[in-house]
Amino acid sequence: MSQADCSLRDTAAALGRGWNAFFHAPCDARVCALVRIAFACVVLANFAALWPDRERWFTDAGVLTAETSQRIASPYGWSLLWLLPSTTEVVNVCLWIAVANTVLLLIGLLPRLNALCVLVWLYSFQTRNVQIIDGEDTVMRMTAFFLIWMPSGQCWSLHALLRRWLGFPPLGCEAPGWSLRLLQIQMASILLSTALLKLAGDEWIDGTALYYVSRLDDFWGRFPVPAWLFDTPWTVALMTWAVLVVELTVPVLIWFKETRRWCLLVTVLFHLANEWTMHLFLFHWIMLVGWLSFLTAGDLAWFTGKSQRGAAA
Amino acid sequence: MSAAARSSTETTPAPPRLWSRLRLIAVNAFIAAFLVLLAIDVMPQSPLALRLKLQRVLAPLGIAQGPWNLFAPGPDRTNIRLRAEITYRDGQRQEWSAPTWREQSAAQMWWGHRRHAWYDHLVAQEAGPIWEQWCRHLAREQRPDLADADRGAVVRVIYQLGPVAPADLKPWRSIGEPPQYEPHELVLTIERLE
Repeated sequence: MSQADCSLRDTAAALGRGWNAFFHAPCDARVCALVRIAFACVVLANFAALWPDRERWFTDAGVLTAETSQRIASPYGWSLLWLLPSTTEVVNVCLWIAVANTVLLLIGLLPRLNALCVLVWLYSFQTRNVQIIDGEDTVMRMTAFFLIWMPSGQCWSLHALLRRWLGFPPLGCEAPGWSLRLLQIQMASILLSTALLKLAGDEWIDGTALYYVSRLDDFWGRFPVPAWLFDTPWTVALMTWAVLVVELTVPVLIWFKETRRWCLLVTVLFHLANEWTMHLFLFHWIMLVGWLSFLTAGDLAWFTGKSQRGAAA
Repeated sequence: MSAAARSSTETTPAPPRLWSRLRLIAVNAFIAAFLVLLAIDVMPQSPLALRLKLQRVLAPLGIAQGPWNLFAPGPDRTNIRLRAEITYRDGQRQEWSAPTWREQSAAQMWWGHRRHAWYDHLVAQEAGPIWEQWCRHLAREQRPDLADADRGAVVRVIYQLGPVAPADLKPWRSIGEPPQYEPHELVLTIERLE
């Protein structure tokens, strides 16, 4: 076929078919439910960690008045806490409402509405004190945003249970998949973005980046690791380059059925290894929540099959 | 068109096909718009000016991200030790130090993560508007016995740098050994609180 044989109309039609197949193929609603439940657990852990220091971070009696927090936040940002008196009582009430919304999301009652509420609370607390936020806070916000669009209440939820009790036909496990796709793209983008930035750093290219990381006292040394692994230049170089390889290849190979499971396995090991060695709070856990979006009905059958066999044994 | 046929079209509601088609178009437009915004916001190669302009849209929606720069393009190369000297209006002096991270347990580090992030951002601020308020808080926290303890207090915030030696200087300091801090101290700010 010569180039002249390519029709613009055929190409556009093929692209349209590809787009529809990619974004509008149905997904397994149990995967959405799994993301919802895991996400809510991580957010509850986040609120639990904020609770003891709530007065310090979010009131005028703490380290940052509402007025100064408005000066240092994004000029386009907003916070519900700026509209309310900056007192401990108000922050207590707001945190409890946020926890209630998260619990409702966890059990799957009005999950889209509660995902929206959780996003509003997360954003409000984060904007009230931008000096204490980190990468995990951004991933939490983004995941809450995707859950607004996700059919996460179709399975494993109080919503589904109530429908059954009220005599409505069950919704089944098939649901529109585009919102889950967006979360998948988000996760791949995070890895790709950080990999591309790292390619611009000498330490990642010459294989010494993990030498520096492992000597940062405030991040490193969560649980014991063999010292020789990080004291020997060639092992450090291998691990540094392995990080780059993972971050560059996973966002590409995870889209193919032949390599998806391997990519997921590598990604889980990567995050757990980081969690073992470094103090990064909830970052790796919320990332693992996001990677759950790549599970399929086949994976769930494999897990449940294994667990049923395990229970039988 | 016959009168009967016309009357039938006037009374029949729009077919569901049209509604689902409109819905599909809306969803596709949403997906396409989101993907464009995501690519510009997250990819480090996108023009900074464009990325900043996008903040007008993304920040109010709560979905601004920026490029993901954890340990990128290169990791930090400096450990920092932070302390403060507070002189109160009654002449009493108090010292405060940030935790020695190496001596903290995994649980303490987890629960104290936000404090760590605070100190980290505090040192990175240049002439930060948050320093005065933090100093006031510190002065009050260190002297709960003194009413309005921050009034009239002078707080000197001091830090010491512990640079990680360049990797080409061998042998490397083992990860089991504590970092070496420079002997001199740097004053981050002196806040005279009114």
